[in-house]
Amino acid sequence: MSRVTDHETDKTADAIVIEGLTNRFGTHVVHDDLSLTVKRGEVLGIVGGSGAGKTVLLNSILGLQRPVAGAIRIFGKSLDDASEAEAQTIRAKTGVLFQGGALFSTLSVAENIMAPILEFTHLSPKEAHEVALLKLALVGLPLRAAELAPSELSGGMVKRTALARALALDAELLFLDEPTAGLDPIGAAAFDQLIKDLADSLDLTVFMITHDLDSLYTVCDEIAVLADKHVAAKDTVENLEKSDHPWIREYFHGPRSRLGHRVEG
Amino acid sequence: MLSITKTPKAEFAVDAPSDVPSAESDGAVLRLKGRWVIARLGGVPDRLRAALRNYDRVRVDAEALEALDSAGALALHLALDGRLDGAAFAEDSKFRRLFDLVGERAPDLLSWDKEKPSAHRPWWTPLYALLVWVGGWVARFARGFMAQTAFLGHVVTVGLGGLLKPGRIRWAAVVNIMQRAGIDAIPIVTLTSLFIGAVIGFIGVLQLQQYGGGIFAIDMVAVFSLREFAPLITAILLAGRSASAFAAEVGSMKMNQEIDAMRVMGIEPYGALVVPRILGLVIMSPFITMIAALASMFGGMLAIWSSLGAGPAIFMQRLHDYVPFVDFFVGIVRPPFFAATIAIVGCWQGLNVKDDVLSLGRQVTTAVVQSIFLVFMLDAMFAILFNGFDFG
Repeated sequence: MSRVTDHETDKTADAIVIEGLTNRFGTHVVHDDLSLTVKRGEVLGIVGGSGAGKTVLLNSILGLQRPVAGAIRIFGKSLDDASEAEAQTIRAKTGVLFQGGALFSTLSVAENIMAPILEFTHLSPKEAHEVALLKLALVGLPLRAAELAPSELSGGMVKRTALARALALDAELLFLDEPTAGLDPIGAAAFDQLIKDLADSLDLTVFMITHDLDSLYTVCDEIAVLADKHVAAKDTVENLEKSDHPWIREYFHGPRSRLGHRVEG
Repeated sequence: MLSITKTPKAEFAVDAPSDVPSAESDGAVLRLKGRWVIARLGGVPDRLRAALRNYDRVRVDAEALEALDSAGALALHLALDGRLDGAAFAEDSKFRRLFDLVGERAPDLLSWDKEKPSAHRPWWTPLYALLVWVGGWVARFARGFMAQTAFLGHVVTVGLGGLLKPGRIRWAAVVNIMQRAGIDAIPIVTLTSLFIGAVIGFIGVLQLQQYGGGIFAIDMVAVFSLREFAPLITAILLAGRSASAFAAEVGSMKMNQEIDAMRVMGIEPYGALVVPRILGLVIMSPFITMIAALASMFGGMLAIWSSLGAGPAIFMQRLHDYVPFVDFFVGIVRPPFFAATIAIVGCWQGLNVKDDVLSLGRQVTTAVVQSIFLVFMLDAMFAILFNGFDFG
């Protein structure tokens, strides 16, 4: 794979544009004419019931799932008709935190984080190692975790390592699939704060699938609700709380929501 | 469109107020230029560290800085090492926030390096490593032997329990294994045996014709096929197909904690996973061997027919007259033992898989190699055992 030098992406194009996306598995329709635009610098939360197609949507954007119909553009470019160099640039500019971590099990934690750095930049292994240790510290892992193998990590540490790897290149576009699931509330709050800090100072665009209501309230600028096979609403939390959509009402006013607590308390 | 133009590299210049830095506290101005992002940073950190070595205080001027990311900020932090004079990036809140974020979380890499010095290597290191390797190997062998014995004991206990109460054996799983490891293996075993039989036929005719007895190639093909080749070819192919499959299946179940889940639920993994695999393969192996023997003799017959002109009728006649039943018997008693060996080795290696992918690959390889080796060993033992036998 050729190394990609720091090509700039088109600053005027929206980070992600999805038009008329349709996904189908056999007769089971997951998405039907789904459209969504993620602006640059936006932290977008994606919510939806289990099986609403959140992860399928993520896989479609990443090019892991070929949609039946529809167009997806990242930084104004479709991965399908981009040249190899352009596609590599887009990949170097995106970081992904997979739900299960997807760490390379043959590499240590530090080597996992160094992998994209060594692949895409001209840093020496020593410099890459320093950057990897910084990312470890950024996500709140102790430095001694650097030498551990992924199989020796706890669930929360796997999440953090995966985030550190997603952040390795300071990607402009960050995909997070349930980043705070399985973390204790303190760790989750630190995670939220970290993403907020990084998004602010690095101009990150974040596409975050989450069920964590606290993350939605503290981090996300806007929230897109996946329901009925398309984006039922995309708005700020305040406006969604007032929505009439039955699922959205249930989501933000249910017994586990902040508003629900407020009503009960 | 993405612009595929090269962006400016990370650059810097150090301006000292006086040309010759004196021993007293000297301030320098570090002027940053270009894009201090990870992709354009190659080689800069070391140069920066070297350039700033002689100054006690450094002021940072970021007027010409185009971009900064956390790797760039880290390089600055490491090079400045606390010698920053005044505030950096006072004019740009975004850069400043990032710089502070990195500074606050940046690991104390220098102290980390001190904590983990690179190991000192005396002259006897290789000797020491060899001893460690041998010791580790012996310890592993001893542990493995004990564990293997315990495993075999488990299997035998559960298997005998199954014999006493056949209702406790999971017959659905047994039939599933018979289908996957047995019936599905028939085409490849048949084809391989056909080729081997044909080869024996050709070579037999070629050699025996020198003595004027080409027709004896028929006896040779039949005896070889029935006694040795059919059981051995079947066993080797089953080892390649099933030992690996069993090891991979059981191994990935173990990685996925499925075996732990079984234990917790009170399902005996040996009864649910190991015994059906052994039983299924043992039941199927004589049948596959039988088919292999037929295919091998058929291949031999075709070869002899084409090279000698002795057709099927002659072949059948000689088979009747000169190949006793004992040859078939000596061949057909082996496959169940081979099959049990293959299944036990496959499951055992699968249960030995650790949590990482590498160990899965290692155990699958070991399963195939070990089962083929053991099959050959068993076969040699059988050959010696049956050598002096005369069943009249």
